[in-house]
Amino acid sequence: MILLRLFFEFFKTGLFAVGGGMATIPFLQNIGATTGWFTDADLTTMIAVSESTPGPIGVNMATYVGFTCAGLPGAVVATLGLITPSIIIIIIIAGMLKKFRQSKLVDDVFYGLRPASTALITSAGLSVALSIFILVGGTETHTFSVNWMSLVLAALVFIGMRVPKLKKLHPIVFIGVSALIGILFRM
Amino acid sequence: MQHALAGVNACVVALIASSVIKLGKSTVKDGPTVFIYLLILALAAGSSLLGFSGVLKKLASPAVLVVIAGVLGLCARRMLPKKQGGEGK
Repeated sequence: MILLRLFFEFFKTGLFAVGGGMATIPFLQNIGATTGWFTDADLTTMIAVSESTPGPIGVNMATYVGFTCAGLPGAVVATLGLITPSIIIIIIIAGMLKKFRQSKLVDDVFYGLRPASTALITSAGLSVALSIFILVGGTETHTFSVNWMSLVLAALVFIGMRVPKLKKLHPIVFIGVSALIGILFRM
Repeated sequence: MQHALAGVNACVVALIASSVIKLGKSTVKDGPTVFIYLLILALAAGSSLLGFSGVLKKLASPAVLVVIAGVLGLCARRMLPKKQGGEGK
């Protein structure tokens, strides 16, 4: 049953996630919230692992989530679920590529889809950021505190990514350095 | 291991923020796209951070939001003057 659900959830992700690998994050967050398979904190780890491994991040995420939920069969089924809509759609489009390229309807729909994809990634990012930067105390006291070390490190990495000489570096470099800083400063 | 993971988590937030800015530059470029961006962000963030329930929760699922955005994009291009609705490419 879990395999069927994995396939369905990732099929939906593959069908609606427009805008590259990062666009799968809001869908994954939704899967985690509705199924309870993983938390926002787990999702952050998945993103880090998927960014550090070769291949498209969306596919890596599907494989990782599938493996976490149902082992090797889960990894295969989730990955197949994610890529199946693309395979079907691309086979259909390939047959009428010229018509598709010139379609005003497709162009008009994508005009709305692109900013929406950015908004969904922003929302997922905000949610992940809050779970990392805001530390919640006991459930009875409802106390909150800011994780300044993480906040400063994230700001530094973000600035580093905008520096012309550094921005061409692979994300794995930033992830590795951040892990090292985490160990050195006992974050 | 826990400390390394804490460092990695902070880095992931920076990676997502960087992607958002990179994508935003090419996708949020005029009035209608700013409107679609803010509307979808409000619904998605409202659902995940404020915990919408009932119809609003279903409306704010990513798949539904993508469909809404597609329809809005289509309407903006067809109904608004070309300057606002964004000329082709």
